[in-house]
Amino acid sequence: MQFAVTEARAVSSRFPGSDWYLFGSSARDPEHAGDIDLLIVHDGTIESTRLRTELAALCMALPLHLTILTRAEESELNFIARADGCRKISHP
Amino acid sequence: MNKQRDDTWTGQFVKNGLNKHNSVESVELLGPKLIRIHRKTHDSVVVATTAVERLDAAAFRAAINGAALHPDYVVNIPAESIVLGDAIQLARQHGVGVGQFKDLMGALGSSDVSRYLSSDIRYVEENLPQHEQVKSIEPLADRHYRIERHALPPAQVVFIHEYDLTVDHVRMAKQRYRSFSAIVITNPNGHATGEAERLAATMNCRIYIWKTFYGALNKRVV
Repeated sequence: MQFAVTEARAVSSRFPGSDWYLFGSSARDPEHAGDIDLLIVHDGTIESTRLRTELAALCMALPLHLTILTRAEESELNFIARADGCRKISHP
Repeated sequence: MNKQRDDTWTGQFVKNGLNKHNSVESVELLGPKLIRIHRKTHDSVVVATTAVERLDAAAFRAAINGAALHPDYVVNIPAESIVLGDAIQLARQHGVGVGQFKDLMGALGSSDVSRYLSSDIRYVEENLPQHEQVKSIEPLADRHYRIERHALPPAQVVFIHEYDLTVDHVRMAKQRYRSFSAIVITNPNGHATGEAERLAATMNCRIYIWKTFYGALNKRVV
């Protein structure tokens, strides 16, 4: 799990204007999580397919499930407040 | 091209991931990519494991042929991967189940893992052919179907089970499945974000829920 967070953090530094979070069982109980739920919120200028390409190697190596939202969508859905155990992992 | 990486970690990974599964008594590692799962209330099952981006017929064959025992299920670990239609057809011919780790988790609760489908895809396969306009359906990939209709042109449709269908889901569907004119949100409580609706419209794609999709099947353009 720590490997996934370290790698995700490294990729996040290449996408200024985006915020990265862990949520679900991977945030609550990392030792026994079946998969890793990663939320990325971006300002809409980033193509989500580019984010997925950058994370492809990590997704191949780990059961990483990505949720990618624009800020407008996050605001519409209130996702961070609703998500279970959501915690930010990217640097401010 | 399929990106084949080292997948010798996958058997141990699945073994670890099944430790807390309600239906599982114990898990034996038979090889780096082969496990036997002893279940509490059903027969034990043999599972071949792999890790590829797109599981096609060739990757499916490699998983079967590389296993010392005939597997009941082939599980592809990456959560963002897809299973292509030729692999689905081949799996059905061989009487072998196929899917991602979350599908295997669901399959282990059913007596016959080889016939397991997630509840929303089972609904697609069992109920869609009963629509008066539908002649037949064919899986092009795990969530992508070609629908032949009696007096209307065929339609290619993607079925997505999400509570919130977002811009990213629309873009990802386009990248994965390429050709389709409609997305159906199979979650009964699901909906699309405003931005996702607008993006889909620019791709000449409509987003439906079941009720509106059944109506659209009677129209020339789905």
